Amino acid sequence: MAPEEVRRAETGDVVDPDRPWVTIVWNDPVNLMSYVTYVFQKLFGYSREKATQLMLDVHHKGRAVVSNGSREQMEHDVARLHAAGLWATLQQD
Amino acid sequence: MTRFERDGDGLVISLSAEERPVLASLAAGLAEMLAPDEAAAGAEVDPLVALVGIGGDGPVDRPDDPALRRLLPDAYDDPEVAAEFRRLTDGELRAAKVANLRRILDAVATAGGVVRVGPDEIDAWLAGLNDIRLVLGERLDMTEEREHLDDLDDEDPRLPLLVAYDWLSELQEVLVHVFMAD
Repeated sequence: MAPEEVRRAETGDVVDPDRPWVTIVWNDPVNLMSYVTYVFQKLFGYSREKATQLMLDVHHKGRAVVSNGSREQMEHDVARLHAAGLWATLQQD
Repeated sequence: MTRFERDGDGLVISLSAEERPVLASLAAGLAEMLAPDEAAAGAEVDPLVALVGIGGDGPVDRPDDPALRRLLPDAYDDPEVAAEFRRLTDGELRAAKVANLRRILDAVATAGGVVRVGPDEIDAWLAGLNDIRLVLGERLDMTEEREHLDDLDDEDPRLPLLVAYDWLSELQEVLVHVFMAD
């Protein structure tokens, strides 16, 4: 276990306000690869190349972190992804 | 057979006489699934209320229907935190999805099967078509390989759903490629 993990385990549920949150998109068998790429470009302003790589990560690894920031920002991102029909969750990194 | 034609910064979609009612009924059916109270009352949701996402003060139940759970997923692993997020966002999310479907319905109903989708309409179309496909995919137990859907019998009740699913997939694919940024 990495030192960081040990520290986290010892401190239990104490939340560090400086730790960024992440938005995760999960794979599903329905969403078109092209549409997922389109959504990443549109919502996050990513290049075609970066959006495509994230889409491929979702497709092949089952999930990908698509954005990070404050909890409020990530809730906003998750809400926009849900509106677009992508399966997204947020959690503390 | 759907025909497509580029038109300036948009795309003109010509739906056949067979396709129009299929798309209309799928879009209307999903809108009703997403806003059953509204459909029952035959009333418009107050746009301001919808915008703010006020759907009442109480908790909002996680949908029982797996298709609706896919459209309105949990935002957090923790059920309690997910429920709180749902309470605050469910109304707005449902209203946004219903608005997308209404846009598709209006276009299909008024334009004689010829629909122009421009830059202002494209996101509503893509999201609306995607939501319909998500529901069809859930009903079909869609998988990446979809082997269980090969060679469906003519009498199989899933066949019309699969035909609609594949048609809407093609429609969405064409729209994405026309409007995808470089």
